[in-house]
Amino acid sequence: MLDIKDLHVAVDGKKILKGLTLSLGEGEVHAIMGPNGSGKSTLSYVLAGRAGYEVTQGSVTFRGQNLLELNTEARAAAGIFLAMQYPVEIPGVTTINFLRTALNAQLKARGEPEVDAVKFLKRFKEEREKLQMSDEMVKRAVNVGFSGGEKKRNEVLQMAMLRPRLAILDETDSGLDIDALKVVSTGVNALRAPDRSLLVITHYQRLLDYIVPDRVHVLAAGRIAKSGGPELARELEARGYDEIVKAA
Amino acid sequence: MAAVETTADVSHESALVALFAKVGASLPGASWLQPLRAEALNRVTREGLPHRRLEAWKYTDLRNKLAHGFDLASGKDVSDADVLDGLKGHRVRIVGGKVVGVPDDVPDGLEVISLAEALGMPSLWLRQWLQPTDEAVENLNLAFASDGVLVRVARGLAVKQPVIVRSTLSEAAMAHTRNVIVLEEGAELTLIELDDGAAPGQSFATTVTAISLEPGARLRHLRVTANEGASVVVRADTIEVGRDASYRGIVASSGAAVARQQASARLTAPGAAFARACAYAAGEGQHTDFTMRVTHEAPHTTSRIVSKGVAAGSGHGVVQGLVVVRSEAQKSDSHQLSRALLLTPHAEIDQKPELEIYADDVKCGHGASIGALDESQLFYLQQRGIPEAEARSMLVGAFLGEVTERLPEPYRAPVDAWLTARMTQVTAA
Repeated sequence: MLDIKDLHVAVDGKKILKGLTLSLGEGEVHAIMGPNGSGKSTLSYVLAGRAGYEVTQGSVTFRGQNLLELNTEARAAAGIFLAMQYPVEIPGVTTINFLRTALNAQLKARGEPEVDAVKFLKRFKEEREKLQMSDEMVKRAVNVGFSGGEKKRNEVLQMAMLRPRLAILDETDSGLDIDALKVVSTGVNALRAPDRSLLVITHYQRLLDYIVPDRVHVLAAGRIAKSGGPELARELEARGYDEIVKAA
Repeated sequence: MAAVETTADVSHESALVALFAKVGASLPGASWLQPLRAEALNRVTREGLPHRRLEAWKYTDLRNKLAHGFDLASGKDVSDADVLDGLKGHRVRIVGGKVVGVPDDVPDGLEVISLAEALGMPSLWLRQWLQPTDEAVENLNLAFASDGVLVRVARGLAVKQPVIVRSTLSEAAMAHTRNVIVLEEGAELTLIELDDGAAPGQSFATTVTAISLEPGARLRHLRVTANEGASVVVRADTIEVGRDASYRGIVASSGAAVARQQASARLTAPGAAFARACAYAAGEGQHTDFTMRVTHEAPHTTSRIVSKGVAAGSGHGVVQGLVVVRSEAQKSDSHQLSRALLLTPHAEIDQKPELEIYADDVKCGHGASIGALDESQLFYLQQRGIPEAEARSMLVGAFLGEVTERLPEPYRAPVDAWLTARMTQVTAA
């Protein structure tokens, strides 16, 4: 599904990722943990294709394709979804209109027919209700006036509607209280599927109690410093990142 | 007589004098109008066509934008369906400066007639609207005005359907029209104007509209200036708002080489309110200008000016808003906000809000900002799969939508559709 080999990335000339190698299989859920500044968000942006993240070395292969050759929207159409740490407010564009435009753009890029409006609305209503979002919320402009928790729910709603092959969740737990965390995690777990992989980026172990990963990787100083099973997350929570960071 | 200093090159103005000598006598109007036309033209030649040394024309050199010499339009029409086609209303059609159609099924109390027709009647009340002023475009327009529309709404009448005036100029020529809109006490009207047409060469159109709102009258006004190609279009409105009367206008421009919409509003009695929202998209080779002057002459008067626009390529957007609060206009409340997006490095936006306040107990504010599209918003849309060009046009549309969302349906949809089509062209440049 996703193969990252010896990835080096610089931002404004500053080296952030320094030889990251990671392999994620079909249907797998991997967690990336690490202290602040270790390059977690850089990894998510470089996979999504944000401008300003310069790959100086290494390769990223996604479902047999050289991902780094594709522009941002082509990566989205290929099935990459980034649930952002700080979802952006877009005044004047309603969530429902935004999502329909996005979905149809992806379908068009893949050469599939546009979605039927009635079916879209029906599915949208189902997914919205699962995430306990009101009709009024999604008729508002994207993320405008949303609380931190509402913004994260909106990210999961978009993920549910767009049905990506690889979803990257960048600190989806930040700013969530325990109730919101449960709703969001339930939403994410419902999307686990044999043909969908998840890369869950988080600073804390708490989220991984709800979204249980197959593998846990520790990112430190721009590379994977340690990998293990779900138990690694609990170990980190108990002992902190210091030991691993020092070893890296 | 003292020597009058003029610009060294007087070819523009002498071409107008020559034209007036040729066609002046055939312009409509009772004998009383001819000397007023001559005097108006005299003022134009004395002061020259508007140029940048005049503060109100600081960013729009009309004189330089005009080729030497125009003939008056003959009135042929090659344009197709218009952008407001689907709207129902009392329709007036003006082609090449001549009224070719007025509605015949208007309700009692609503008068919609052509100026040329009215000038054939001994209508003394028209005189006050047809006087030379100190404003060059108004004078030029008076000298050559060939027609126009008079709308009068009788006391207390709320007209249900809008009056829709479409004015088309599709010739490389000039056309000047003059409108008079009078709402008597307590009357209500929605006035919709559409300017369109693309000439095979340069065209030049001016329209001067005098709007008089008597006590308690309410006018809702929508104007779309959608001319294309080498059109130079100037709109000059003079708006007088009486006691507890209100003017609410939404004006939009995109497509013409030069589109200027200027307004001079006077709030003459307590409770008078003026609001105008402007939207523009200036693409390659386009210049849009919104210049407004609002004078608070009485206490407890309100004014609001909002503008939102985008410029790309060599596009140039200008917004000037001057609010004057006279010493007797205590408790006046005024605000203006101008926001613009520069989409490409060579586009230009000039925003000039000005306040001249002579009273001491007033609430007046203004804000202005110019920026680029937000990169993080663009990334967000693209990450969801929306191609960059479409994402840009969505964001620009949302930005300008803050003006059109003030329009009720059924008016909003066609204006949005037009703006979206214009923006797609502008942002693709």
